[in-house]
Amino acid sequence: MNDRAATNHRSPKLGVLVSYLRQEEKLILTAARARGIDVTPVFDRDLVLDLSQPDAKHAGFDFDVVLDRCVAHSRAEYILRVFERWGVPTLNRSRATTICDDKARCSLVLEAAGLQTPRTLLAFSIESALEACESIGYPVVLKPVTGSWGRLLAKANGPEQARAILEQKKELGSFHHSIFYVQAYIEKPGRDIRAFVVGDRVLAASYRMAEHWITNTARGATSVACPITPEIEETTLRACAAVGARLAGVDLIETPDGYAVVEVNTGGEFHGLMTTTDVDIAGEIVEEAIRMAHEADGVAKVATVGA
Amino acid sequence: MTAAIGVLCERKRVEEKQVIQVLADAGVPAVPVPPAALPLPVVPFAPAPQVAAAFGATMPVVVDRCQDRAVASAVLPLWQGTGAVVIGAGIAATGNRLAVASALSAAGVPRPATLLVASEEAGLQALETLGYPATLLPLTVGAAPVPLLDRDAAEAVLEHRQTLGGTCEVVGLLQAGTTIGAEHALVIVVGGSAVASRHMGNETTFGPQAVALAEAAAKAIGADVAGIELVRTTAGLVVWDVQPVPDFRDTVPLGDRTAGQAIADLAAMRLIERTAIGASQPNGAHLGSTMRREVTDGVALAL
Amino acid sequence: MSTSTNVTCPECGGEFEAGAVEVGEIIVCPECSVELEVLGTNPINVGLAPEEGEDWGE
Ligand SMILES: Nc1ncnc2c1ncn2[C@@H]1O[C@H](COP(=O)(O)OP(=O)(O)OP(=O)(O)O)[C@@H](O)[C@H]1O
Ligand SMILES: [Zn+2]
Repeated sequence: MNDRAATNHRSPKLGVLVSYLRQEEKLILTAARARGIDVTPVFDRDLVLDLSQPDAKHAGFDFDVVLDRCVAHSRAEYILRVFERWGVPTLNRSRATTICDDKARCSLVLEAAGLQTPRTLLAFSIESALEACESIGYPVVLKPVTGSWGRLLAKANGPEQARAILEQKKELGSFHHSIFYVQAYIEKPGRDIRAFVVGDRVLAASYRMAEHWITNTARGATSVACPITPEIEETTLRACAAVGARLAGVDLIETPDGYAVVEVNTGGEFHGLMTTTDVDIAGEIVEEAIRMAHEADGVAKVATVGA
Repeated sequence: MTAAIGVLCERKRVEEKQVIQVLADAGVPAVPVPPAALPLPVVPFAPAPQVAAAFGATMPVVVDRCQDRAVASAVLPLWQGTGAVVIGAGIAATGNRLAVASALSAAGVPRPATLLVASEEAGLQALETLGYPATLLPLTVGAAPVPLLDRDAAEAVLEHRQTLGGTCEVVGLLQAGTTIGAEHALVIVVGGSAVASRHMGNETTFGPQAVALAEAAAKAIGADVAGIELVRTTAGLVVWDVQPVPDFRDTVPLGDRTAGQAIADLAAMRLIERTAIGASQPNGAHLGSTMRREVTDGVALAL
Repeated sequence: MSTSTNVTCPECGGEFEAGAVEVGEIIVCPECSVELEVLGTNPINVGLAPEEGEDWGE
């Protein structure tokens, strides 16, 4: 047990926000414990957050840093905001997760940063979405603005197909599903690239190979090691910088004009990647979280000295 | 209290207005009855007095023109429970597309190759057999058919229905073929006879065979009124789908009556029949003799 | 140039005078009470008004 009075000298307390424990979170907990770090999994479903409390201590939480590993992104977004308000550093910052949890926001930020990304149009009615499809030219990809694991990704090869899919979204989905995200379909060589970033570094990258045009490992794609070329590294880090992510899985597609960034996932999964690299990804994530805690601590001390 | 024909509809649209107008011109009272406006008790026969009080008339005959088919399948049995004669689409009025397809097949009415699917996986498997293009006809009441022109579209549509709507939205009939670019017509059958039709999409060259097919389909499902969709597929002319409450404003009469007139005539006739047996029904409303004369005269005019 | 603002309701077929309206305006059919959206003004053209969305509000 650490001495509570000697706050500045004890090892930081790490809260790991989870929806449930996957292999990846177990690895993170193990890596933290191996480093002698006081780590606690925090289940999103158990939390009651008192917004009137001035800081985490008063609210009953004793963390120096919170690492977000929730699969429930909408929950995580609120939780991160609350901890930030309470002065607890979080990995990632809520700004980054808010951008990355919304494909439209993410595309907008990537475009603004001058990154190459598939041409994307937004529309809000079936008729205008069909115009968007025409303007891009078939085939097009339709994606829900919030969603992951390749779910509800649709490829429309013509206007009748696009209409049928758009009507399902409008008829059966909540209003979010009528924010129509229409993207150019990029021919790719049976694979995409998942590059994994922690802090300022691309830790590893893998090709995700699949017969299907959707190459998520969640949909059965297989991972093969991909060398981190300077171009991959530069594109990936620029994408992360643009959205403000310090822990991310970045999806890249190879195009004749270089790498296009499909999206940045702030909840980056690495189970596929682990099979292709020796890098201790879980350990690196823990180190980054601890670095953030120390930085914040440093900032606090400087502030105290300055006062 | 007077007796009237109740036209079950949320709102008087062009079709309902036509039917009510024809009846009014013939001196037969007809009133629009919003099907979901009143709470209805679940005991048999009870709604009659309530309805009479609310609308100022008893309704021994009811014409089903509900646009919301979920409401219709809930309230039609209650109306039947009042002893009212419901003029509707028979099995297609409250049954789902599976019930309709089964009845049609049992009666030997030609239909496209069809498989029932109850999951995304089963749907994709069925499509391997049926080939593309195909069409999903959901069993959810009132849901529109979804064309599945290729595998990419089928995967997306089935996943969307399952994920956004739940299992019930993925349960449906998968039919070989599509109406897109095909010869496709709607035939309105009233009281056993095809009375009007219109092309849906491509121009059709349907002849007497189509009339016979539509009439056979309406008979197979026990419909007083129905819109029978016919499509020419590679396998020949088939009954594609049945519309329980078809729009007929743009249909062309096949004989000397419009679809609206034919429905009004049928309703008036049922009112006379109903009135004749009405007296022997314990809870049924019955017309006074003066009223009956008026109705009879009116029907004579309408016919 | 004076334009007729006589409207035929697509729902009930009823005819009524729409008055001075602009594209995008919502008008109510006096006969069947359906909400209609003005799609064009020269000549006047109306369609069923869009359904209210869950996220609509102030
Ligand atoms: N525009 C496109 N053209 C071609 N393939 C695409 C396109 N967009 C996405 N894909 C393919 O689909 C996969 C998933 O896309 P995307 O990352 O946008 O979906 P997702 O559901 O957010 O997945 P995750 O969050 O798990 O990365 C991509 O890795 C890529 O292989
Ligand atoms: Zn109207």
